Amino acid sequence: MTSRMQNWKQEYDRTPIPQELRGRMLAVTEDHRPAPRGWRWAFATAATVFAMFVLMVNVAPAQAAELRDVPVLGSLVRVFTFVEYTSEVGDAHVRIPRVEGLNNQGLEEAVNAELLADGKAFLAKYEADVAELKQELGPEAMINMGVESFYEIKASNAEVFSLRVEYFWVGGGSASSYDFYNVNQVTGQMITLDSLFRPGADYLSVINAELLRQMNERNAEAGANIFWTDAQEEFTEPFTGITADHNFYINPDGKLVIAFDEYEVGPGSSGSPELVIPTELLTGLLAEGAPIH
Amino acid sequence: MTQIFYDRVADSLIQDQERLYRLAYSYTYNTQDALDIVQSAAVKALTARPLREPEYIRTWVYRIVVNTALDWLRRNKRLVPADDSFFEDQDAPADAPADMDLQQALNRLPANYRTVVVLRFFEEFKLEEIAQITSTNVNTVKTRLYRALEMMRVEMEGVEDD
Repeated sequence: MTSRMQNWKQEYDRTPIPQELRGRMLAVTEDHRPAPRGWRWAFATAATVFAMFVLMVNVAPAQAAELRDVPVLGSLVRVFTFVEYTSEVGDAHVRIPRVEGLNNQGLEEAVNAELLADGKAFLAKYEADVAELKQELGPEAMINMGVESFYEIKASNAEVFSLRVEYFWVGGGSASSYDFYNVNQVTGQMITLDSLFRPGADYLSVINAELLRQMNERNAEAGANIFWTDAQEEFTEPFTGITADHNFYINPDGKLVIAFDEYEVGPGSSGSPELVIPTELLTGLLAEGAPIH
Repeated sequence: MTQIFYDRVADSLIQDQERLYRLAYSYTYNTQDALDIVQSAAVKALTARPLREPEYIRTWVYRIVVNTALDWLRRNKRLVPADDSFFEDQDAPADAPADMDLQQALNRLPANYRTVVVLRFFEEFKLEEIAQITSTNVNTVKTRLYRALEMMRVEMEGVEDD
Protein backbone atom coordinates (compact mmCIF):
# COMPACT_ATOMS: atom_id res chain seq x y z
CA MET A 1 0.00 0.00 0.00
CA THR A 2 1.22 3.48 -0.74
CA SER A 3 2.08 5.77 2.13
CA ARG A 4 -0.80 8.02 1.16
CA MET A 5 -3.27 5.17 1.45
CA GLN A 6 -1.62 4.13 4.71
CA ASN A 7 -2.20 7.59 6.11
CA TRP A 8 -5.80 7.44 5.08
CA LYS A 9 -6.18 4.02 6.64
CA GLN A 10 -4.79 5.36 9.91
CA GLU A 11 -7.17 8.27 9.70
CA TYR A 12 -10.04 5.87 9.06
CA ASP A 13 -9.06 3.64 11.98
CA ARG A 14 -8.99 6.68 14.27
CA THR A 15 -12.66 7.47 13.54
CA PRO A 16 -13.97 8.21 17.03
CA ILE A 17 -16.60 5.73 18.21
CA PRO A 18 -19.42 7.49 20.06
CA GLN A 19 -20.28 6.16 23.49
CA GLU A 20 -23.93 5.63 22.61
CA LEU A 21 -23.19 3.14 19.81
CA ARG A 22 -23.00 0.22 22.21
CA GLY A 23 -26.23 1.07 23.98
CA ARG A 24 -28.10 1.59 20.75
CA MET A 25 -26.93 -1.71 19.31
CA LEU A 26 -27.90 -3.58 22.46
CA ALA A 27 -31.30 -1.91 22.47
CA VAL A 28 -31.98 -2.64 18.82
CA THR A 29 -31.00 -6.30 19.10
CA GLU A 30 -33.16 -6.72 22.23
CA ASP A 31 -36.14 -5.00 20.62
CA HIS A 32 -36.13 -7.34 17.63
CA ARG A 33 -35.64 -10.63 19.42
CA PRO A 34 -38.06 -13.17 17.88
CA ALA A 35 -41.31 -13.62 19.76
CA PRO A 36 -40.70 -16.04 22.64
CA ARG A 37 -42.28 -19.42 22.38
CA GLY A 38 -44.20 -20.93 25.25
CA TRP A 39 -42.51 -24.26 24.92
CA ARG A 40 -39.10 -25.00 26.34
CA TRP A 41 -37.24 -27.80 24.71
CA ALA A 42 -34.81 -30.13 26.35
CA PHE A 43 -31.51 -31.39 25.09
CA ALA A 44 -32.12 -34.96 24.22
CA THR A 45 -29.83 -37.77 23.37
CA ALA A 46 -30.41 -39.41 20.06
CA ALA A 47 -31.39 -42.58 21.87
CA THR A 48 -34.77 -41.12 22.65
CA VAL A 49 -37.48 -43.67 23.08
CA PHE A 50 -40.99 -42.66 22.34
CA ALA A 51 -43.87 -43.61 24.49
CA MET A 52 -47.26 -43.52 22.96
CA PHE A 53 -50.42 -42.98 24.87
CA VAL A 54 -53.64 -43.85 23.23
CA LEU A 55 -56.41 -42.14 25.02
CA MET A 56 -59.89 -43.51 25.00
CA VAL A 57 -61.34 -43.68 21.57
CA ASN A 58 -64.99 -43.97 22.30
CA VAL A 59 -65.10 -41.73 25.24
CA ALA A 60 -68.30 -40.64 26.89
CA PRO A 61 -68.62 -36.87 27.37
CA ALA A 62 -68.50 -37.13 31.17
CA GLN A 63 -65.26 -39.11 31.09
CA ALA A 64 -63.69 -36.90 28.50
CA ALA A 65 -63.80 -33.96 30.87
CA GLU A 66 -61.58 -35.79 33.33
CA LEU A 67 -58.75 -36.47 30.93
CA ARG A 68 -55.44 -34.65 30.89
CA ASP A 69 -55.56 -31.83 28.40
CA VAL A 70 -59.15 -31.22 29.23
CA PRO A 71 -61.13 -31.32 26.01
CA VAL A 72 -61.96 -27.95 24.58
CA LEU A 73 -65.69 -27.71 24.55
CA GLY A 74 -67.44 -25.78 21.86
CA SER A 75 -71.13 -25.18 22.09
CA LEU A 76 -71.99 -28.10 19.85
CA VAL A 77 -68.81 -29.77 18.71
CA ARG A 78 -66.26 -31.38 20.99
CA VAL A 79 -62.58 -31.66 20.25
CA PHE A 80 -60.35 -33.76 22.44
CA THR A 81 -56.91 -35.27 22.35
CA PHE A 82 -57.33 -38.63 20.72
CA VAL A 83 -53.71 -39.73 20.68
CA GLU A 84 -50.84 -38.15 22.51
CA TYR A 85 -47.22 -38.94 21.80
CA THR A 86 -44.44 -37.77 24.04
CA SER A 87 -40.79 -38.70 24.12
CA GLU A 88 -39.07 -39.71 27.35
CA VAL A 89 -37.24 -36.44 27.72
CA GLY A 90 -39.95 -34.26 26.40
CA ASP A 91 -38.59 -33.19 23.02
CA ALA A 92 -41.62 -34.38 21.11
CA HIS A 93 -45.16 -33.79 22.15
CA VAL A 94 -47.76 -34.44 19.51
CA ARG A 95 -51.44 -34.23 20.30
CA ILE A 96 -53.74 -35.55 17.65
CA PRO A 97 -57.18 -34.05 18.07
CA ARG A 98 -60.47 -35.72 17.27
CA VAL A 99 -63.62 -33.86 16.42
CA GLU A 100 -67.04 -35.06 17.47
CA GLY A 101 -70.47 -33.58 16.94
CA LEU A 102 -70.29 -32.30 13.38
CA ASN A 103 -73.68 -32.44 11.73
CA ASN A 104 -72.25 -34.27 8.75
CA GLN A 105 -71.00 -37.63 10.02
CA GLY A 106 -69.15 -38.45 6.81
CA LEU A 107 -67.27 -35.17 6.89
CA GLU A 108 -66.42 -35.73 10.55
CA GLU A 109 -64.83 -39.07 9.71
CA ALA A 110 -62.86 -37.53 6.86
CA VAL A 111 -61.62 -34.69 9.07
CA ASN A 112 -60.59 -37.10 11.82
CA ALA A 113 -58.82 -39.37 9.38
CA GLU A 114 -56.85 -36.41 8.06
CA LEU A 115 -56.00 -35.15 11.56
CA LEU A 116 -54.71 -38.59 12.51
CA ALA A 117 -52.72 -39.03 9.29
CA ASP A 118 -51.18 -35.55 9.52
CA GLY A 119 -50.25 -35.97 13.18
CA LYS A 120 -48.63 -39.32 12.50
CA ALA A 121 -46.77 -37.98 9.48
CA PHE A 122 -45.52 -35.03 11.54
CA LEU A 123 -44.16 -37.35 14.21
CA ALA A 124 -42.73 -39.78 11.65
CA LYS A 125 -40.86 -36.93 9.96
CA TYR A 126 -39.40 -35.93 13.31
CA GLU A 127 -38.31 -39.47 14.11
CA ALA A 128 -36.75 -39.81 10.66
CA ASP A 129 -34.87 -36.53 11.15
CA VAL A 130 -33.56 -37.68 14.52
CA ALA A 131 -32.52 -41.05 13.07
CA GLU A 132 -30.74 -39.33 10.20
CA LEU A 133 -28.85 -37.00 12.52
CA LYS A 134 -27.96 -39.91 14.76
CA GLN A 135 -26.51 -41.73 11.80
CA GLU A 136 -24.60 -38.67 10.74
CA LEU A 137 -23.27 -37.63 14.14
CA GLY A 138 -23.01 -40.92 15.95
CA PRO A 139 -25.19 -42.51 18.62
CA GLU A 140 -23.71 -40.43 21.46
CA ALA A 141 -24.42 -37.09 19.80
CA MET A 142 -26.63 -34.59 21.51
CA ILE A 143 -29.53 -33.81 19.27
CA ASN A 144 -31.25 -30.55 19.95
CA MET A 145 -34.48 -30.85 18.10
CA GLY A 146 -38.08 -31.11 19.06
CA VAL A 147 -41.62 -30.97 17.81
CA GLU A 148 -44.93 -30.15 19.35
CA SER A 149 -48.43 -29.84 18.02
CA PHE A 150 -51.37 -27.91 19.40
CA TYR A 151 -54.95 -27.36 18.45
CA GLU A 152 -57.34 -24.56 19.12
CA ILE A 153 -61.04 -24.09 18.40
CA LYS A 154 -61.39 -20.75 16.67
CA ALA A 155 -65.18 -20.82 16.51
CA SER A 156 -67.92 -23.26 17.33
CA ASN A 157 -71.54 -22.25 17.00
CA ALA A 158 -74.68 -23.31 15.20
CA GLU A 159 -73.29 -22.07 11.90
CA VAL A 160 -69.58 -22.57 11.87
CA PHE A 161 -66.93 -24.79 13.34
CA SER A 162 -63.32 -23.59 12.85
CA LEU A 163 -60.31 -25.50 14.14
CA ARG A 164 -56.67 -24.56 13.92
CA VAL A 165 -53.92 -27.16 14.28
CA GLU A 166 -50.39 -25.92 14.83
CA TYR A 167 -47.34 -28.00 14.00
CA PHE A 168 -44.33 -26.51 15.73
CA TRP A 169 -40.75 -27.63 15.38
CA VAL A 170 -37.58 -26.40 16.94
CA GLY A 171 -34.05 -27.26 15.93
CA GLY A 172 -31.82 -24.31 16.69
CA GLY A 173 -34.43 -22.25 14.92
CA SER A 174 -38.12 -22.77 15.21
CA ALA A 175 -41.16 -22.56 12.99
CA SER A 176 -44.84 -23.30 13.02
CA SER A 177 -47.16 -24.27 10.24
CA TYR A 178 -50.91 -24.27 10.55
CA ASP A 179 -53.82 -26.22 9.19
CA PHE A 180 -57.33 -24.87 9.38
CA TYR A 181 -60.56 -26.83 9.24
CA ASN A 182 -63.67 -24.74 8.60
CA VAL A 183 -67.03 -26.46 8.51
CA ASN A 184 -70.42 -24.99 7.69
CA GLN A 185 -72.65 -26.69 10.25
CA VAL A 186 -75.81 -25.71 8.41
CA THR A 187 -74.90 -27.29 5.08
CA GLY A 188 -72.50 -29.85 6.55
CA GLN A 189 -69.89 -28.83 3.98
CA MET A 190 -66.24 -27.93 4.35
CA ILE A 191 -65.83 -24.18 3.84
CA THR A 192 -63.29 -23.01 1.27
CA LEU A 193 -62.64 -19.38 0.46
CA ASP A 194 -64.24 -19.88 -2.94
CA SER A 195 -67.36 -21.37 -1.37
CA LEU A 196 -67.97 -18.19 0.63
CA PHE A 197 -68.39 -16.04 -2.45
CA ARG A 198 -70.62 -15.85 -5.47
CA PRO A 199 -69.25 -17.72 -8.48
CA GLY A 200 -66.95 -15.46 -10.48
CA ALA A 201 -66.81 -12.75 -7.79
CA ASP A 202 -63.35 -11.19 -7.66
CA TYR A 203 -63.17 -11.38 -3.89
CA LEU A 204 -59.39 -11.90 -3.85
CA SER A 205 -58.74 -8.38 -5.18
CA VAL A 206 -60.92 -6.91 -2.45
CA ILE A 207 -59.32 -9.01 0.30
CA ASN A 208 -55.79 -8.38 -0.94
CA ALA A 209 -56.31 -4.63 -1.16
CA GLU A 210 -57.64 -4.65 2.39
CA LEU A 211 -54.77 -6.82 3.66
CA LEU A 212 -52.23 -4.47 2.11
CA ARG A 213 -54.05 -1.45 3.53
CA GLN A 214 -53.99 -2.93 7.05
CA MET A 215 -50.35 -3.98 6.73
CA ASN A 216 -49.25 -0.54 5.55
CA GLU A 217 -51.29 1.09 8.29
CA ARG A 218 -49.69 -1.09 10.97
CA ASN A 219 -46.22 -0.42 9.53
CA ALA A 220 -46.86 3.31 9.60
CA GLU A 221 -48.22 3.20 13.15
CA ALA A 222 -45.26 1.20 14.37
CA GLY A 223 -42.72 3.10 12.28
CA ALA A 224 -41.23 -0.27 11.48
CA ASN A 225 -41.70 -3.17 9.16
CA ILE A 226 -44.17 -5.38 10.96
CA PHE A 227 -45.19 -6.59 7.53
CA TRP A 228 -43.13 -6.88 4.38
CA THR A 229 -45.23 -4.80 2.06
CA ASP A 230 -42.56 -3.67 -0.35
CA ALA A 231 -39.15 -4.88 -1.38
CA GLN A 232 -36.47 -3.90 1.09
CA GLU A 233 -33.04 -4.39 -0.36
CA GLU A 234 -33.04 -7.81 -1.97
CA PHE A 235 -33.57 -10.02 1.03
CA THR A 236 -37.30 -10.09 1.51
CA GLU A 237 -40.13 -10.80 -0.83
CA PRO A 238 -42.93 -8.28 -0.52
CA PHE A 239 -46.47 -9.44 0.17
CA THR A 240 -48.35 -9.47 -3.10
CA GLY A 241 -51.57 -11.15 -2.10
CA ILE A 242 -53.18 -14.39 -1.05
CA THR A 243 -54.63 -17.05 -3.29
CA ALA A 244 -57.89 -18.99 -2.95
CA ASP A 245 -56.18 -21.78 -1.00
CA HIS A 246 -54.81 -19.51 1.72
CA ASN A 247 -55.33 -20.23 5.42
CA PHE A 248 -58.37 -18.54 6.97
CA TYR A 249 -61.02 -19.08 9.57
CA ILE A 250 -64.28 -17.56 10.63
CA ASN A 251 -64.23 -16.02 14.08
CA PRO A 252 -67.09 -16.19 16.63
CA ASP A 253 -68.38 -12.82 15.37
CA GLY A 254 -68.76 -14.30 11.90
CA LYS A 255 -65.85 -12.28 10.48
CA LEU A 256 -63.47 -13.66 7.90
CA VAL A 257 -59.93 -13.85 9.31
CA ILE A 258 -56.91 -14.35 7.07
CA ALA A 259 -54.12 -16.21 8.88
CA PHE A 260 -50.43 -16.16 8.03
CA ASP A 261 -47.58 -18.42 9.03
CA GLU A 262 -44.54 -17.04 10.76
CA TYR A 263 -42.20 -15.44 8.17
CA GLU A 264 -44.89 -15.53 5.51
CA VAL A 265 -45.50 -11.80 5.53
CA GLY A 266 -43.26 -10.37 8.20
CA PRO A 267 -40.26 -10.87 10.47
CA GLY A 268 -40.20 -13.48 13.22
CA SER A 269 -40.85 -10.77 15.76
CA SER A 270 -44.29 -10.28 14.19
CA GLY A 271 -45.28 -13.86 15.00
CA SER A 272 -48.10 -15.45 13.01
CA PRO A 273 -50.36 -12.54 12.11
CA GLU A 274 -54.14 -12.82 11.66
CA LEU A 275 -56.00 -10.03 9.90
CA VAL A 276 -59.77 -9.55 10.11
CA ILE A 277 -61.57 -8.53 6.91
CA PRO A 278 -64.47 -6.12 7.66
CA THR A 279 -67.66 -7.73 6.37
CA GLU A 280 -68.96 -4.50 4.81
CA LEU A 281 -66.17 -4.78 2.21
CA LEU A 282 -67.53 -8.15 1.14
CA THR A 283 -71.23 -7.38 0.79
CA GLY A 284 -72.33 -7.99 -2.76
CA LEU A 285 -69.63 -10.61 -3.17
CA LEU A 286 -70.78 -13.13 -0.57
CA ALA A 287 -72.57 -16.26 -1.66
CA GLU A 288 -76.09 -16.76 -0.41
CA GLY A 289 -76.07 -18.36 3.02
CA ALA A 290 -72.36 -17.74 3.56
CA PRO A 291 -71.76 -17.74 7.36
CA ILE A 292 -70.10 -14.32 7.29
CA HIS A 293 -71.71 -11.45 9.18
CA MET B 1 -34.99 -20.79 11.35
CA THR B 2 -35.78 -18.00 13.71
CA GLN B 3 -33.74 -18.11 16.87
CA ILE B 4 -30.49 -19.31 15.39
CA PHE B 5 -30.66 -16.81 12.54
CA TYR B 6 -31.49 -14.02 14.95
CA ASP B 7 -28.62 -15.02 17.23
CA ARG B 8 -26.11 -15.06 14.39
CA VAL B 9 -27.22 -11.72 13.00
CA ALA B 10 -27.21 -10.17 16.48
CA ASP B 11 -23.73 -11.61 17.19
CA SER B 12 -22.43 -10.28 13.90
CA LEU B 13 -23.89 -6.83 14.59
CA ILE B 14 -22.50 -6.65 18.11
CA GLN B 15 -19.10 -8.00 17.14
CA ASP B 16 -18.68 -5.69 14.15
CA GLN B 17 -20.46 -2.67 15.59
CA GLU B 18 -17.42 -0.38 15.61
CA ARG B 19 -16.36 -1.39 12.12
CA LEU B 20 -19.90 -0.94 10.81
CA TYR B 21 -20.04 2.47 12.45
CA ARG B 22 -16.72 3.54 10.87
CA LEU B 23 -17.98 2.36 7.51
CA ALA B 24 -21.20 4.35 7.87
CA TYR B 25 -19.24 7.36 9.12
CA SER B 26 -17.06 7.27 5.99
CA TYR B 27 -20.20 8.20 4.02
CA THR B 28 -21.70 10.76 6.38
CA TYR B 29 -18.83 12.34 8.30
CA ASN B 30 -21.47 13.03 10.87
CA THR B 31 -21.88 11.07 14.12
CA GLN B 32 -25.68 11.10 14.41
CA ASP B 33 -26.28 10.19 10.78
CA ALA B 34 -23.76 7.35 11.00
CA LEU B 35 -25.43 6.04 14.16
CA ASP B 36 -28.82 6.22 12.47
CA ILE B 37 -27.55 4.31 9.45
CA VAL B 38 -26.07 1.53 11.58
CA GLN B 39 -29.22 1.31 13.68
CA SER B 40 -31.59 1.22 10.75
CA ALA B 41 -29.41 -1.36 8.97
CA ALA B 42 -29.44 -3.45 12.16
CA VAL B 43 -33.23 -3.39 12.24
CA LYS B 44 -33.38 -4.47 8.60
CA ALA B 45 -30.98 -7.34 9.25
CA LEU B 46 -32.74 -8.51 12.42
CA THR B 47 -36.17 -8.48 10.80
CA ALA B 48 -35.20 -9.99 7.46
CA ARG B 49 -36.28 -13.34 6.20
CA PRO B 50 -33.59 -15.82 7.30
CA LEU B 51 -30.80 -16.43 4.79
CA ARG B 52 -30.41 -19.87 3.34
CA GLU B 53 -26.64 -19.70 3.68
CA PRO B 54 -25.76 -18.44 7.14
CA GLU B 55 -22.03 -18.35 6.36
CA TYR B 56 -22.69 -15.19 4.38
CA ILE B 57 -24.24 -13.35 7.31
CA ARG B 58 -21.24 -11.11 7.89
CA THR B 59 -20.89 -9.83 4.32
CA TRP B 60 -24.68 -9.62 4.10
CA VAL B 61 -24.77 -7.35 7.17
CA TYR B 62 -22.10 -5.18 5.53
CA ARG B 63 -24.19 -5.08 2.38
CA ILE B 64 -27.19 -3.81 4.31
CA VAL B 65 -25.07 -1.09 5.96
CA VAL B 66 -23.58 -0.08 2.60
CA ASN B 67 -27.00 0.05 0.93
CA THR B 68 -28.46 2.02 3.81
CA ALA B 69 -25.55 4.46 3.61
CA LEU B 70 -25.98 4.78 -0.17
CA ASP B 71 -29.68 5.51 0.35
CA TRP B 72 -28.70 8.17 2.83
CA LEU B 73 -26.30 9.68 0.30
CA ARG B 74 -28.98 9.72 -2.38
CA ARG B 75 -31.47 11.33 -0.06
CA ASN B 76 -28.96 13.91 0.97
CA LYS B 77 -27.89 14.43 -2.64
CA ARG B 78 -24.24 14.56 -1.73
CA LEU B 79 -23.27 12.31 -4.56
CA VAL B 80 -24.95 10.33 -7.25
CA PRO B 81 -23.69 6.85 -7.99
CA ALA B 82 -22.01 6.81 -11.37
CA ASP B 83 -22.04 3.86 -13.69
CA ASP B 84 -18.70 2.48 -14.72
CA SER B 85 -18.61 4.18 -18.11
CA PHE B 86 -19.01 7.65 -16.68
CA PHE B 87 -15.33 8.21 -16.10
CA GLU B 88 -14.10 6.28 -19.12
CA ASP B 89 -12.99 9.30 -21.10
CA GLN B 90 -12.10 11.59 -18.28
CA ASP B 91 -8.72 12.18 -16.78
CA ALA B 92 -8.41 12.46 -13.05
CA PRO B 93 -9.36 15.94 -11.93
CA ALA B 94 -6.32 18.14 -12.25
CA ASP B 95 -6.79 19.96 -9.00
CA ALA B 96 -6.33 17.04 -6.62
CA PRO B 97 -4.31 18.51 -3.80
CA ALA B 98 -1.40 16.46 -2.55
CA ASP B 99 -2.46 16.75 1.07
CA MET B 100 -6.12 15.77 0.77
CA ASP B 101 -7.50 14.29 3.93
CA LEU B 102 -9.58 11.14 3.75
CA GLN B 103 -12.91 12.92 3.69
CA GLN B 104 -11.85 15.10 0.78
CA ALA B 105 -10.43 12.12 -1.06
CA LEU B 106 -13.61 10.05 -0.61
CA ASN B 107 -15.87 12.93 -1.51
CA ARG B 108 -14.18 13.13 -4.91
CA LEU B 109 -15.47 9.66 -5.68
CA PRO B 110 -18.82 8.50 -6.98
CA ALA B 111 -20.67 6.50 -4.35
CA ASN B 112 -19.91 3.07 -5.84
CA TYR B 113 -16.23 3.84 -5.93
CA ARG B 114 -15.92 5.09 -2.38
CA THR B 115 -17.61 1.90 -1.23
CA VAL B 116 -15.03 -0.38 -2.82
CA VAL B 117 -12.13 1.79 -1.65
CA VAL B 118 -13.27 1.74 1.97
CA LEU B 119 -14.04 -1.98 1.92
CA ARG B 120 -10.74 -2.85 0.23
CA PHE B 121 -8.16 -0.59 1.85
CA PHE B 122 -9.68 0.21 5.24
CA GLU B 123 -11.95 -2.73 6.06
CA GLU B 124 -9.51 -5.03 4.23
CA PHE B 125 -12.01 -7.35 2.62
CA LYS B 126 -11.08 -9.78 -0.13
CA LEU B 127 -12.20 -8.93 -3.65
CA GLU B 128 -14.68 -11.81 -3.62
CA GLU B 129 -16.23 -10.51 -0.39
CA ILE B 130 -16.47 -6.99 -1.79
CA ALA B 131 -18.22 -8.41 -4.83
CA GLN B 132 -20.74 -10.07 -2.49
CA ILE B 133 -21.25 -6.92 -0.45
CA THR B 134 -21.74 -4.72 -3.49
CA SER B 135 -23.71 -7.33 -5.48
CA THR B 136 -21.28 -7.21 -8.40
CA ASN B 137 -18.45 -9.40 -9.63
CA VAL B 138 -14.74 -9.38 -8.94
CA ASN B 139 -13.87 -7.75 -12.27
CA THR B 140 -16.21 -4.85 -11.65
CA VAL B 141 -14.74 -4.43 -8.18
CA LYS B 142 -11.23 -4.28 -9.66
CA THR B 143 -12.25 -1.82 -12.33
CA ARG B 144 -13.83 0.44 -9.74
CA LEU B 145 -10.78 0.22 -7.53
CA TYR B 146 -8.39 1.17 -10.34
CA ARG B 147 -10.53 4.08 -11.42
CA ALA B 148 -10.99 5.22 -7.84
CA LEU B 149 -7.25 5.15 -7.20
CA GLU B 150 -6.70 7.14 -10.35
CA MET B 151 -9.15 9.75 -9.13
CA MET B 152 -7.62 9.80 -5.68
CA ARG B 153 -4.22 10.19 -7.28
CA VAL B 154 -2.63 7.25 -5.57
CA GLU B 155 -0.36 4.58 -6.96
CA MET B 156 -2.02 1.47 -8.35
CA GLU B 157 -1.21 -0.92 -5.57
CA GLY B 158 -3.21 -3.19 -3.43
CA VAL B 159 -6.01 -3.85 -5.86
CA GLU B 160 -5.24 -7.54 -6.33
CA ASP B 161 -5.61 -9.98 -3.47
CA ASP B 162 -2.29 -10.90 -1.85
